[in-house]
Amino acid sequence: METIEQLDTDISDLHTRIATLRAHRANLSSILLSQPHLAARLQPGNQRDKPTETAQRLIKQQSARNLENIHRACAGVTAYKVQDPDPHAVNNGNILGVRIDVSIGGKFVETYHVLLAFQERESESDKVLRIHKHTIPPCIPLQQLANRWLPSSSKDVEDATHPEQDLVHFGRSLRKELVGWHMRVQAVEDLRKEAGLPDSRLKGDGQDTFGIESTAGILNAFVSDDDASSDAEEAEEEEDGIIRILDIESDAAVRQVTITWSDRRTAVININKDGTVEKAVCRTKGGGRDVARSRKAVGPLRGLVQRLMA
Amino acid sequence: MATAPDYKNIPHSHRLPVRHREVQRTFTKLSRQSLVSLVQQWLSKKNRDFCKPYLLSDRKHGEEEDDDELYEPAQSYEELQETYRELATRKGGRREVLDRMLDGDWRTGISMYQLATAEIQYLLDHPNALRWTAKRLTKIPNARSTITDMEVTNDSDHLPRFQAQTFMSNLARELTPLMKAHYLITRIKTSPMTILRVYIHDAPYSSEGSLAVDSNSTDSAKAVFFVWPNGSPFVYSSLATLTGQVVGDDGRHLRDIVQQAIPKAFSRPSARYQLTSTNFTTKSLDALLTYRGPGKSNAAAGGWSIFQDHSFSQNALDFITTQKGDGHEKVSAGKTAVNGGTKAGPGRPKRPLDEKESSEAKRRKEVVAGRFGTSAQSDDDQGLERFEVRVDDPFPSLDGSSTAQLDDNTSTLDAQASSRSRRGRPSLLDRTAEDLEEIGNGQDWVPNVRITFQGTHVFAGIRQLAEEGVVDGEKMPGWMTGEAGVTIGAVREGRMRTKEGVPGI
Repeated sequence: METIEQLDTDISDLHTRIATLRAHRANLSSILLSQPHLAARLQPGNQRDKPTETAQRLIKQQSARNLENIHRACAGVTAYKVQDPDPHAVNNGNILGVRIDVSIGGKFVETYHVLLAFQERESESDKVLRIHKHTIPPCIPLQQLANRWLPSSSKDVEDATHPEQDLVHFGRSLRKELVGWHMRVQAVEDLRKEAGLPDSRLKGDGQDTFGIESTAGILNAFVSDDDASSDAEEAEEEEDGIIRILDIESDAAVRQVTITWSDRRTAVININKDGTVEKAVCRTKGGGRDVARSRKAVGPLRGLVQRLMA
Repeated sequence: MATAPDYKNIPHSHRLPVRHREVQRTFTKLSRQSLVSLVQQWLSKKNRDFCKPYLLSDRKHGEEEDDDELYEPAQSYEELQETYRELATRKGGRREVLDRMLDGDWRTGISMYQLATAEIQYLLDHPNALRWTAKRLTKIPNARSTITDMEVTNDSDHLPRFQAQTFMSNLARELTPLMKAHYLITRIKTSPMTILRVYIHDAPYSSEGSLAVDSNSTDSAKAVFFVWPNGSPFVYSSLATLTGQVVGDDGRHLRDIVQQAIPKAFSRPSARYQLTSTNFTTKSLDALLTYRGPGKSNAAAGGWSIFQDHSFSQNALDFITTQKGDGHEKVSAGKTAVNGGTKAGPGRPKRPLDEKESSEAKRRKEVVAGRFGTSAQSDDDQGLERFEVRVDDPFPSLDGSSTAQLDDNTSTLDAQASSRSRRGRPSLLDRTAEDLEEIGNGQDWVPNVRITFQGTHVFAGIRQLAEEGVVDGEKMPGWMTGEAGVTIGAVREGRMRTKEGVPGI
């Protein structure tokens, strides 16, 4: 006799099976639709029945998608047109979109958009591109890039009354910033993995059931006047003899990384946009500077943990 | 007990008596679970110095054991931790824990640190408890360094760098001559932000005794909150106090001092910052993180939200198109069923009618989905409570004669409007001289029209109205979808007026 639990597991098994089969079918059908010359082969004479029309529509859809994806995957920066639904939009709502696909480690991890509108330049007849909407995070210097490559009025660039707009350069430098940022994020993740720390993107998911960890660390414990106290906690940490990295954390732009060891050594590291360690300050457990180690930290971000542990 | 005035901050360990109004007000609001978790935080080793409980060893020798003592003092921290762990597992009322804390283990007083963590805990439990204003830290342009500021190089940095220690010591240096304050700055694990709480103590003394004095005026104090979302140039400040507290001019003034000190504490030589308004005020911290946060959503609100989640563009390696095709087939299947359904006969006379209406409703829904994208869902916790606009467009004229008539009336109407606005507090929406000049250039009559939307979730409401057909989803101007990303603004030529430059930064 089957219990309810058994039936439930059976049902969920069937659901997953349906899902995989669906995915498989979708995969197969897109492979079939992508066959070369399929459209031509499906057109025997000029009879126009409904299934053929549907097939043609699907083939067209698929080949459009294939073309788009190939462009996106190979170029990294692609442009497209969208329509602003706002009835009062400038230039009848014609919007030029710029799409930046960021790939890390053989995967496309994120897509960013910048939507540009044409706008009449003041007191002049020509039109300039202006950023209308975008999905670039604030840790990317979009404003500066736009000022440099898409100046809209003469005040942005000195001694030039007709500043040139260079969308290609804009896209290229914006992509460089975005990819650099993603690679720095990835590099810090790798460092964390190397140090045996949990993935920071998963942090706070499971352990928070009780709410006890909701505030991470009080950053200004030093403000209190009686700081003769904070020494008590570390005494036992050292006794187990193994010194390990407690935490590696970075700011949102990954330009500064802080490493904390279990024996109260710390290192604060400045990183350039291309991922090289530019400056580093390592401190010993007493708070003094560790000049030799600081010098050792300068270099590529990869292998930083090994350099510092050595 | 008046000691000499000094130049210190209020340390974490200074205690307030448990009957102090601030203590009572803060702790009575917290839930049982929050209280227990707070105690466990306090009793962890690194925090013990700021949160000393009353232990058995604290009882002075020779002191009589009080018979009607409700709570026996614990022997050690470990015992206390065990007690509260047990309270956490057991079900019961909030009062039980609260009484034990205030009358038992912390009968000698609640430290400033404890009060601050309790208030922050309340804030995290109720993210809509305070009204927040989003400001932006902007660099004051420097004549010498304008060119270098604009350059994007390998090591250029365009955001103000936030270093907690440096910032705190700078802030304290700005404020200590003016007031005494207790500062607590903490990172939040569950959401990407840093919270600073400043407890203003308007006295020249930083001693424990002066803290305990419950001042008579209702508005003297107390806490001001600032939130920095990580990796963005914004600061959210909450100058309003918890619900129902009236703030007088004195309290407001002290808070303004704190707020003015924030950009100064951020500034370095040759990089000066100021706080500028971003026309955004709301109670919801989630909405703040969406509209003025660290992520992709700042400049893609309203219908543009499809660009920030992945509903617009698939992964570049996702070649499957047919799954979407399935969806379309279902839609068309639904439509054929409607056509067949009309002949279905007497069994279900009402249903075809509904279905016919629903095709119109379906079209409206599609239009609305195009205008709002994935935003403005009533359950997304990102409700804005108030949205104000001023319309600066000329009155639509029907024919020549009527405009001439209207022109005659303009002067009187304007006079009325100006006299009315002078009565109340000046609103951010009042036209400035600059605006008036710009409007005055045209020949048309520009009435002073202001629209205020209010509710629990304004844009979800507009979305619903558009879905019901009350608001025309196609003719509706873009700012009604919330895509402008402000809560207060002026509309000209049907568009929200924005400053020059890139939106959302």
